[in-house]
Order: sequence, then structure tokens, then C-alpha cells
Amino acid sequence: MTTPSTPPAPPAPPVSTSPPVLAADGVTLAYGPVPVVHGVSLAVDGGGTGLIGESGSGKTTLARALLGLLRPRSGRVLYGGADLAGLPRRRRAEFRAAVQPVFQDGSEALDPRMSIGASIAEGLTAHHRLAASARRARVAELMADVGLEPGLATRRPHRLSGGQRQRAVIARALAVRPRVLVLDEPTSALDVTVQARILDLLEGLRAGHGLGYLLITHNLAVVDRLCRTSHVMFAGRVVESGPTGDLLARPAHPYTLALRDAVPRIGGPPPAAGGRTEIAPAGSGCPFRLRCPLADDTCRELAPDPRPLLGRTVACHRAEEVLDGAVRR
Amino acid sequence: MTASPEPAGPAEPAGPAEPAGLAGLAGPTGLGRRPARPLRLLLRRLLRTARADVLAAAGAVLLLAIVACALLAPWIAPYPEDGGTATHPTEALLPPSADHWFGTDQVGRDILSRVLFGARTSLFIAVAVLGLAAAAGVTLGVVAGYAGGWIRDVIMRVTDVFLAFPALLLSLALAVVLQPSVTTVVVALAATWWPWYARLTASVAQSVATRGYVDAARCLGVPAPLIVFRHVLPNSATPVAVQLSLDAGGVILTSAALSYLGIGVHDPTAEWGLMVQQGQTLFTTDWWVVTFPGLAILVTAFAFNVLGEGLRQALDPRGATR
Amino acid sequence: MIEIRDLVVRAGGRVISSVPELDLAAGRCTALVGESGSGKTTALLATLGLVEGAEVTGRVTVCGTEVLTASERALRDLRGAKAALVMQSPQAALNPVMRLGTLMRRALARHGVKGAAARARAHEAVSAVLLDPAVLRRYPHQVSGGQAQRFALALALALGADVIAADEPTSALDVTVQAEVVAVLRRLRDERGLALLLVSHDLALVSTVADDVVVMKDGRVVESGPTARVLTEPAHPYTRDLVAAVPRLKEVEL
Repeated sequence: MTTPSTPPAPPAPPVSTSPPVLAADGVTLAYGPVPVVHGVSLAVDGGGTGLIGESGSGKTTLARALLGLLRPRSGRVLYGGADLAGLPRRRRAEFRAAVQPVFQDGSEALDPRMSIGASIAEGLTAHHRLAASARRARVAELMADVGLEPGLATRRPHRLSGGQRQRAVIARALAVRPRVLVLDEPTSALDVTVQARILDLLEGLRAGHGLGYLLITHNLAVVDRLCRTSHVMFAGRVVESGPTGDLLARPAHPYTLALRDAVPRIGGPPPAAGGRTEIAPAGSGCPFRLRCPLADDTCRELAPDPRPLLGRTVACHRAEEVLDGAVRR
Repeated sequence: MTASPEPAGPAEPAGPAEPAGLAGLAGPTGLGRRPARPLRLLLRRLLRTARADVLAAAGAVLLLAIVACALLAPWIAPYPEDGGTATHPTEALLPPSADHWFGTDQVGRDILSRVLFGARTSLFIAVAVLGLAAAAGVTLGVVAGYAGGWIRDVIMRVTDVFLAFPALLLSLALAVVLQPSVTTVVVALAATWWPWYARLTASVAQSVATRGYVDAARCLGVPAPLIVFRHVLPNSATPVAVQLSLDAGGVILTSAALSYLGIGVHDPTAEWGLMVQQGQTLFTTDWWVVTFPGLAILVTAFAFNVLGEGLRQALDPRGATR
Repeated sequence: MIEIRDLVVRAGGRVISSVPELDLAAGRCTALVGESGSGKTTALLATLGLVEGAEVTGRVTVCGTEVLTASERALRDLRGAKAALVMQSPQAALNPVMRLGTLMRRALARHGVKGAAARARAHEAVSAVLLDPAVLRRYPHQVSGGQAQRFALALALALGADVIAADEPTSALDVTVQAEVVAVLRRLRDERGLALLLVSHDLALVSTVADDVVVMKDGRVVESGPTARVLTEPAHPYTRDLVAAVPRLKEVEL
């Protein structure tokens, strides 16, 4: 990468090493006048990137921007280091194949009027012509890859189980040989045993297809399994990011801590209830201050900027105290 | 289509095998169900569909009968020449009898024959008006709903302007400018009808455009026109199809009103609305002149409505048929 | 509070849910767990006499009422007061044009509690579920999912419920909000002595509230017993699979 002001890179040989396939650089997003995502930066690489947050945190909106479905109000979405907004046509087409979504709830993610096979084949014909026999063969291959019986190809989505639908959605995404999958709550609508098998599938595919994952979820355990790096979002901002293991073992932001301790565990203590769940009004101070047991005058007046701390980034004035266990259950 | 009758669900590639001890108990639930033979399956499905869609089927059958009458009018009408220009002044205003089941009108034409011929005009008007209105309305609506932004705003404002005119008034104005004829009626009615389809389609298409499969298609690089054609249109079609069948009766009634006001079809042509108009002053003395064409309008409107209601229930994917 | 013997629900000649034996005492919580299609929700609905279009046999006693033989009127009285049903998304069940306070006042008026007494009862119930009484002045769309769920519990409490039957009460909620509802459920059980019959697919959640669990699969009970025993030393292979499938955080120091 060069300076940001340089126009989109000339047709240079593809950079094989440094820039991540997909990244957000200070992305701010809004549907109306009020931004729902504020200046978020993250990168997706082969280790898996988690985006953790609760409903309304802006994580799905951010995902839409990373998929090129929503234009950032400010900041850039980077594909291979180049700004998506200025991509030449050919690179744009490449991006269209390289980054694919796997949305929540298979029934809405698949066209109810199309057979599973036709849905999976959709991407095959979008980019180049393909003979019907070759298409059928490729669909069969993809279905085998995700563990779907070939006989299901002629069925409509409503005649499949939730787990099968989610497999079909994954197969459809794989059809265009993507490099990154944006997984938005890929398992949250499924039964636990089915969920476990879909996670197994995703782990296997990552190795087999060399995929990078951006996993968006509220389920910390799922992130823990698939992502080396994680970002925790609250009210449209990333409040803490770093290696997933560190984040969950020793949260530095009180919200990360609250999220972790609210997860019920078999044989564990009852989940910790945080009391209030409001988001502080925008404008001044830390957005988490109404819920934070440590909030003081500084937090009320000054919004914390993200800062590096112990190999992670955290936006909290009192992160050191959180790390030292100042918040008791 | 595979022959397995099992609904979705337990077909997920079985993870843990069913433990032997439990398998014995599980009897009627999971195990030992042979797939039914295709023929029996087909029969069962037909029966189920028939039961669920009795309403739609009844409407369709009634409508088919009406269409058959229209098509076969020259052959089944007792006095085919009465559908056109023939007059028999000596036989004017005869009450219903074995010769003239529905009686005769002011100039002695057989009313049954004219009702049968009138079906041709009325049904043609209905189909033509709805065809034109739907073609224009659905196209604009789907584009507006999928594209959103300023495209949607422009299309919707134009639609609103058309909606602001009272339908009958606009038809009247058009009919005055153009010559009274079947074509005029069709054009006038289509011009007042399409905005409703544009509105309906736009609102449905707008919600369809937010579905996961549309986003997925965009991410796969499927071109926008193909997305509209392949995903948005078929998934927005059901409410429009239902609305069309519900409106057909209304179109016939409105075209009858136009004829009634004297700006639609004129005399030698047999048309129900016109027949009602011409017969109305005679209602107290010669009731049959107005009653039978009136009944024809009523039955046809009813048939379309029943079909529409049936369709609405049958096509609603998560609705009544569950 | 609840006593079930040989409950079998059949639809189309097929058993869709059966519970041979279940006893739930005051101040206790029993959870029916299983995956979709296991019949757990059907069992819950049958307990309150809410199953329609299916054949229900056996004996179910709730707060002294024989549910399967009781008249429609007796069932309505039971469900209106002694045994309350709480669903996954209560917001949908709340009249959108009525303030929560009005809603509660009307419900209390039907039970003959009016005026100052009703107000006091409402405030007391709302505080018991850890809600600010200010929510009574709000409309359903102005409260969060967690607040609506707690209001549903408060309503049950105000009407004098002894039994609360809850169908996936937290699965539509965020994890921090879920934690609050769980805290309220535990409080109602421990401090008010309510009997809770809970349906959930979430074993980890169940482990934090339920005293006993009943594991169901394909309409049948495969294992039941004290929660701690069943979830830590599952005897049945299916329970073992279920427990193993629960995604968990790596062991973290707490």
C-alpha cells in the first residue's frame, strides 16, 4: 500500500503477501442522519476474525458494507488493500466472487421458489458460461463438499431442515471460489447438535478451501472456536479487540467482561446480570457509562479513544483496573 | 422430486446413531416407514390440494363455464344473429318463455343470446384492461421497489398523480377525447388501474429486495435485471396475481358503468353494462330486460372474486394451507 | 403444583409428545429440554390444556385442576390466575395501543382488584421483577425485549400465579438481557415460591435455573433427573451428545 491519496493501484502484479483480502479502515455507516457504525477498522485473514456484539450494535450493518452492499459514509472498505469505491471494473468483478455472505436463517437466505440445486448454481453462471452438464456436476460436487445428499438438489428450501438449508447457503457461497466468507450468525437459528456439525463443516472448509472468515455473532463460544482475532462492538463502536483467547480470558473492557459473564455455562455459576442495559445518549462521554460499574466523572465527560494495551486495543479509561479485576461479579 | 414422503427435518445426516435400547421403543416415529408409492402420493396430494383450494377451484370452474359460454356463443346461442345487428320489432319485450328463456328486448332480440355474446365483450375488456394495467404497473413497481432511491421516488410520484384522479372521471375525460368504443373503454380503464398495481408491486418488491437471497445474488455478481427477473418478480407475483383476479369483477362493473353512462360500447355490440343501461327504465314493467345481464355481471364478478380469494389462501406460503 | 401421569399427545395416529411422569412442587423449577421436534413445547401446552387438533390422554393436575377433563371455563380461570404462560416474544402479545400500566390494571380489574389496591399490587409486582415502575407508563414498543419479558412475568405475579410455564423465554434475547431474565426467574422461584416449568433448547441456560431436567427426543422422554446429575453425568447417549454439542468457552480463570 502507498499513501491514501494515490489513485487506485495500476495493474501491478497481485501482491501475494501483506494486505489482507478484506479490511475496513475507519468505516462509518449510516442509514439516516445518525451513524450506526462509527469509524471501525478491522481486517479479515486466514486466522478468522470475530465480530461480537448484541442486537443493535451495528455488526450486521458493518457486514453489509464489507460485502459491498452499503457504501460507507466515511472511511474505506479495502479489498486486497485497494479502496472498494475506486476499484476498476475487472477487480470489482473479482471482489464480487472473492467475498461471499453466509446469512442467518436458511429459509430467508434461499429463494423459496427455487430448487436447492438452482440456488447453489446461481453463482456458477453469474461470472462465466457453463454447460448444463458441467453445472450439474459442479453442483453435485459442492453439495458433497458441504455434506448434502445429491437427491436434495431438486427440493425447495421449505422441504429441508434448518441445518440442511444452512449447508446449501454455504455451498452457494463456495460456488464462486471465494477467499472470504462473511458469516452472519451462521448457527444461531439451529439446534445445538446441528450447530456443532455446521461449525465442524466450517472448520473443515477453511482448511480445504483456504478461506478467511469474518464471523458475526453474539455467541462468544462460537467465536472462540473459529476466530483467532476478535472485535467487540458496542453501540456502533469497537470497544475492544485483540486475540480471542486473551479477550475472553481477561477482558480489558467492562462490556467484554459483562458479555462473557452473562453466558450461561453447564456446571458454572448463574450468569451475571448487569442491571441496566441502556446505551448512553450520543454526544459526550463513554457510551457504556450507564452500565459500567466503574464509571466516574471522566467517563461521563470524555469519550475514550481506542488505545493499545497488552497486545490488544481497548476504548476504556479504566481498562487497567478492569484487567486487575476491579469489576466483581 | 424424490419419492420420500418425509417432510423436512429428521433428514439431517444423522449424527449419533439411535441407541439400540431406544430404537425398540421408537416404533411409529422414526423407523420402518416405507416410502409410499408415487401414485398414492399423487392422489393424496391432489386430494389435499383440492380440499385446501376448494374456493379457488369453485371460482375457476365457474369462470371456465363463463369463458366457454363466451367462446361458444355463436354455436350455443339460440338466435346467433341477435348478438349483432338483427332486430325483430314484432317480437319486442316478450317475457321469458320456452322460445326466449330470458325474454326479448325493446327491439325484439333474444336476451339469452345477447347475454352470451355480451360475455365475449365483457371478458375481453376485463382481460385486456388487467393485462395492460398489470404489465405497466408491475414493471414500474418492481423497478421502483428494487432500485429504491430517486428512481423509486420518481415512479411513485407519477403513480400518485394518476391515483389523484377519480377513476371514473379520468375514464370519462378519455372517453370524451377518444371515440366511444371497446378500445376506448380498455384504454381508459387501464389508465386508471395501473397505478394500483405499481403501488402494490413496489411495496412488495421493496420488502422482497431486502431478503437474504437477493443480497446473496448481488454478492454473487448476478446482474441487477436478472435479479429482478429471477428473484424479485416471482416472489412479488403472488399478491399481484390475487389482486388481479379480485379486480376483474371490478373492471367488468366499471366498464358496465361506462357503458351505462353512454360513453363505452354502443348499441349493436352486446355488452352487459350497456344492456343494463338500456333496460333500466323498463324495470318496473319488463323486469327481464335488465335482470339477466345484471345477473351475468354479478355472477362473473363473483366468480373472479372467489377465485381471487381462493388464490390468496392457496398461494400464501405460510398461510391457511398449512 | 403440577402433576403429570402418562401424558400422551397424538396427532394423526402418531405420538408427538409423551411424558410418563412429572412432579413439580412450589419453589422448584423443572425444564423440558430437547431439539426442535422433540415435543417439549407440545408437552408444555398440553399441561395448560392448550393443545388443539390432537388427541391428549393421561392425567394432568395443575394447582388442583384436572386439566384434561376440566371445562373450557375452568381452564380459562386457571390460566388467567394460577398458571401463567410466558412466551418467547411477549411483545407480540401485548396490545400495542395500551400502556403497560393500563394493561395490568385491566387484568387486575377482571380479578376484582381496583383503585389503590391495584396500583399497589402493580408496583409491587413490577419491582419484584427488577423493573423500574416507570415502565408502567410506557407503550409496548417503547420497552426492550427483556423488559417486555419481565413485564409478562410481573403480570403473572400480580394476578397471583403459583405456576409459570415459560416457552423459550430468553431465546429471542441478547445474552446480557437473558442474564437479567434468568436472575428474575431464579428470584421468583426462591423468594416467591413459584413453580416454574421451563421449555428450552439451551442446556447451559437450563443448568443455571432448573432443579430438574427432562430430556426429550422425538416425542419421548429419554432421561430425567436432577439437573446437576443429568448434565454432568448424563446416563443416556442422546443426553451425552446434547451436552457435548453445547459450544463452550475454553476454561477461563474466573
